[in-house]
Amino acid sequence: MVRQLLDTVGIEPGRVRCEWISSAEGTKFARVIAEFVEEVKALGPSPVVKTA
Amino acid sequence: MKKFIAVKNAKLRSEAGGGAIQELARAMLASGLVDRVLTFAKGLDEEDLLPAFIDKADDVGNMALNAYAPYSLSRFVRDYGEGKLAVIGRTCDIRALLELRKRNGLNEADLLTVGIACSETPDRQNCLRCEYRVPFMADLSCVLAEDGTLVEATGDKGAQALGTGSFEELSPSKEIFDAEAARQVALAEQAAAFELQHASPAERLAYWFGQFDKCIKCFGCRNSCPLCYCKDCVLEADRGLVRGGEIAPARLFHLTRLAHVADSCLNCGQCEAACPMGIPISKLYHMLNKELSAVFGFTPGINADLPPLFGFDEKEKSDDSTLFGGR
Repeated sequence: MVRQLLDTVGIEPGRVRCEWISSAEGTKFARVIAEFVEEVKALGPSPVVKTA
Repeated sequence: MKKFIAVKNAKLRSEAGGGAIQELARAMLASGLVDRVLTFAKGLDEEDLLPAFIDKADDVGNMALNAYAPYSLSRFVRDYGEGKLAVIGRTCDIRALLELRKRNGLNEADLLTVGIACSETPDRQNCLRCEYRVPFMADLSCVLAEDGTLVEATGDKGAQALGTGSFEELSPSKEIFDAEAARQVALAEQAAAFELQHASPAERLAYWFGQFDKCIKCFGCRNSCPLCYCKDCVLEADRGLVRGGEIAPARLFHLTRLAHVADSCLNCGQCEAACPMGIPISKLYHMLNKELSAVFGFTPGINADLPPLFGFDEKEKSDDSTLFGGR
């Protein structure tokens, strides 16, 4: 729903991600976070922040 | 069972719909079926309407049924709706009551709903988009015609209320039914023709942020919304990106509100009517609500189904468009 919301106003839905990771899955956690950081970096700065 | 009725009393007969709604309100009050009737009443002139609780059967002549007023009756039910109450309102008022009920905002047992279909469309964007003009979800669903009113009781409660009144049952001419049906079809087509999406994401972003930047944070949209029922509002809290008390608000202010009400937005347009800066906010809510309705198969205010965020559907785990969003 949040992704749909962002898309409606024109913000890239890729800025939100939902994953289920167990406390035992340390490697998966690290991998997902690293991946997601790369994805958001590729999208560039958030359009939400007002630039003066 | 649909009935076409008018009132016997000659004084009320000249009112819209043959005075049947006025007689219904009078009879419900006189018989003690309800203590109060919440409806719109005449103000200074034809165009000036006020929401009013009527508690004396003699006062039903003050009712005004065929003009538009930018108030949501459901808010008055929520804030002042004690005792046995009948609400006579538009379809969006009745739908809002249904949604509030799901959120435990109302005492269901003491509420009787009488909906009046919008035959004429007020010159308002949300009304032009409206797909629900006939209040089939109300206890009594009414359509005002020239000399009488088409009434349908949707259950025992509605039938009991109708039974208190003294009506003359008219034999409706086929033309009246046909004219009403044709009008509803035309209005539905008009609503369906509404173009919801703007072109590219970049254009959408520029458009909506341009609109959000006009906001003066008066909270008019929240205060006029029939579905905003929280006592402590998250919009007033101090939350990182959206600072409490900050004027003008951060752009995320509107997205926060959108996230709160989008799944149940009725497109009643009260927020837009209240906005002093002319932000077409109900358009945004309605657009998102239509998208979400397509995904979750939920339309607010038409039946007892719960909104999607009230529960979890097994199907959602495998449906990329909802939870894990196309990844």
